[in-house]
Amino acid sequence: MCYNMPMKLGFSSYTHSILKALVSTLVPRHESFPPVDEDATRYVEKSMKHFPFYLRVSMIFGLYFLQFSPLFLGFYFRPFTKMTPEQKERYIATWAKSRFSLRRDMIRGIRALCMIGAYSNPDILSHIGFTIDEHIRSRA
Amino acid sequence: MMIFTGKEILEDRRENADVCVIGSGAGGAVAAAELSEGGLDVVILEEGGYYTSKDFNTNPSEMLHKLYRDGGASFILGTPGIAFSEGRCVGGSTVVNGGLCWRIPEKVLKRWNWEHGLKDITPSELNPFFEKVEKSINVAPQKPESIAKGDYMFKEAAESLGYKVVNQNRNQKNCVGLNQCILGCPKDRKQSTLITYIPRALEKGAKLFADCRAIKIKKSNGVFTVMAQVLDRETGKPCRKLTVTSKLVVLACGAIQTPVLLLGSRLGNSSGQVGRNFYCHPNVKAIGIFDKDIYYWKGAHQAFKVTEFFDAGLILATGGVHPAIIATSLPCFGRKHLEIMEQYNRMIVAGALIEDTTSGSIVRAPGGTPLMFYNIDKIGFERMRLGVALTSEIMFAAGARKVLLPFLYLNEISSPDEIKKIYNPSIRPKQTESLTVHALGTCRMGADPTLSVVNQWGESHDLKGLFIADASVIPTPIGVNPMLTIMALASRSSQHILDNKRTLSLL
Repeated sequence: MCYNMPMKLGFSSYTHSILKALVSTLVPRHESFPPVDEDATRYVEKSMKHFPFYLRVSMIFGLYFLQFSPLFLGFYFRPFTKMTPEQKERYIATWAKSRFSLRRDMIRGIRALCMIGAYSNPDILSHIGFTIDEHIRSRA
Repeated sequence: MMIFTGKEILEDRRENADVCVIGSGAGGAVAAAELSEGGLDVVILEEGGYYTSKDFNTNPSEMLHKLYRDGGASFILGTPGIAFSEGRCVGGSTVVNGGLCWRIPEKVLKRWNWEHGLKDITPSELNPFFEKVEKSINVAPQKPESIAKGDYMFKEAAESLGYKVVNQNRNQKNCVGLNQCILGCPKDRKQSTLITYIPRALEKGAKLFADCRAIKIKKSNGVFTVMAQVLDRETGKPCRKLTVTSKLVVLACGAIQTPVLLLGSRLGNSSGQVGRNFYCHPNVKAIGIFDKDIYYWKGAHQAFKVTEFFDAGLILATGGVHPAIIATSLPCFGRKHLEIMEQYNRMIVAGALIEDTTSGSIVRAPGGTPLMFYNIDKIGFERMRLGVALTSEIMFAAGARKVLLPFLYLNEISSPDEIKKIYNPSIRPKQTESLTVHALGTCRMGADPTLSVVNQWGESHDLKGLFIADASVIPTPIGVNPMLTIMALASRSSQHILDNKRTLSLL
């Protein structure tokens, strides 16, 4: 039996859908490797389980803000998940370069997690020419 | 060997020992081994899991969660926000660091004497401890054939500019340059405490409890009681209790967790200095992109360091790590991000370690979570600019076509003439990307109990028998990688304990 359990706080299916839309905008794509969205989303969610409570709360709050802020900040008149891929990209670019550090830091944080998930995928690593296992075999 | 992991502890458990060592990294492992070898009965508590080289692989998404706190994604709040990583596994950060071994500079020891009254901690006092530690972890220069090509290019370029470059020593044995230091050396060439001091402690009868997080320390009737939670490795949830009673406690949880544990236990803080004086050696990086393939990740990185600007608070070196780690720091996303990463084999990543000119603090949030705060000051930011400018200069001297910078509104420059843009007054600290893997100073040593937490031996001014043997006792920034200093100070504290068994009620 577990005791003294930390407060449960994870992604609902709605926050998951916002995260998925954000991850799809952030991760790299190319015809030479299959999409890595799933790897990246899984990694963000897995990481969140390890985060302290305040970071988990901040992340969920930030995702909701991202979802609804286009209605009043971006003049897109639709929530983030309903935007076209081009609109999402333009909107995320404004966050990434924002003068408000909280918006910038949120994108920076989630982007960092996404990229770890994405660049752990062997197909994308092979695409950029990172053949670490071969290197280890040749030196060991 | 007595190693117990969380899943092997099936019910609440009590242990009794002479010494309870909390943490198994650079400080804790040294203390545990030397105290065990000195005939004391030792229990080691480690919050992280027990993994060996058989468990290490090249997949960062797996290893970061196994070996690092918060999956390697901790964050220091302030201006600029600083990404922070530290190990959380048996062996602590020594399992995941670059293995760079520097003795503490003499100028820093002078400062310790003048500012903190640590007149006995002199080079001649510390040298025997450094020698002992260096022998134990096999500190040696890197074999030339193991060094990455990018490192040689960086060195030659720095020397062509007239800058002083020195070889770096590492705690390694027959390193062949697999460049997997930060994900755990898969061939046990890096001599982390996981394969050096921890086995020594276990051989002498120490008991190691992995997946056990100390949450409170109490002292009554001359006996310490350490209460710990046994964590489920899969979920991270506490599932059972472990209680250790001991005559002595050695705290070695690192400069972030040690003050949080003390604050939570309401111990050792009559000076009000616990959690203050937080130093973190902020790093800034620059990425050189070249016209030809360099494969800078094929070989050991940081084999050389530019020490020309050490007195100005800067050390420069390359850092050839996994693309997933580099990818986290690029300021773009999507296709543009991939376009940069497609040049990964043509990159050299280098950076500057900044000696702090200000300090931050660690606060214990409700629930025991540490919050780290640090705002860089004007001098520190000028050091950051200088570090980026010098690194860029060296990159261009090495033949870089362009250099990617860590500033939000100045992402790249394409020639040495553009380096002056780094000094544009519109570039502000909050627009700078910074990271660090060093945390120091939050339970500082000193002679004056009103201004420091522990004395020169690492023993609490307030509570006899409570020792601290990690980076938190280091009272000032040291400007170099701190692992060796932490280990030497832990060894010195252990020697003091063994020399004073009677007064510490250990006989």
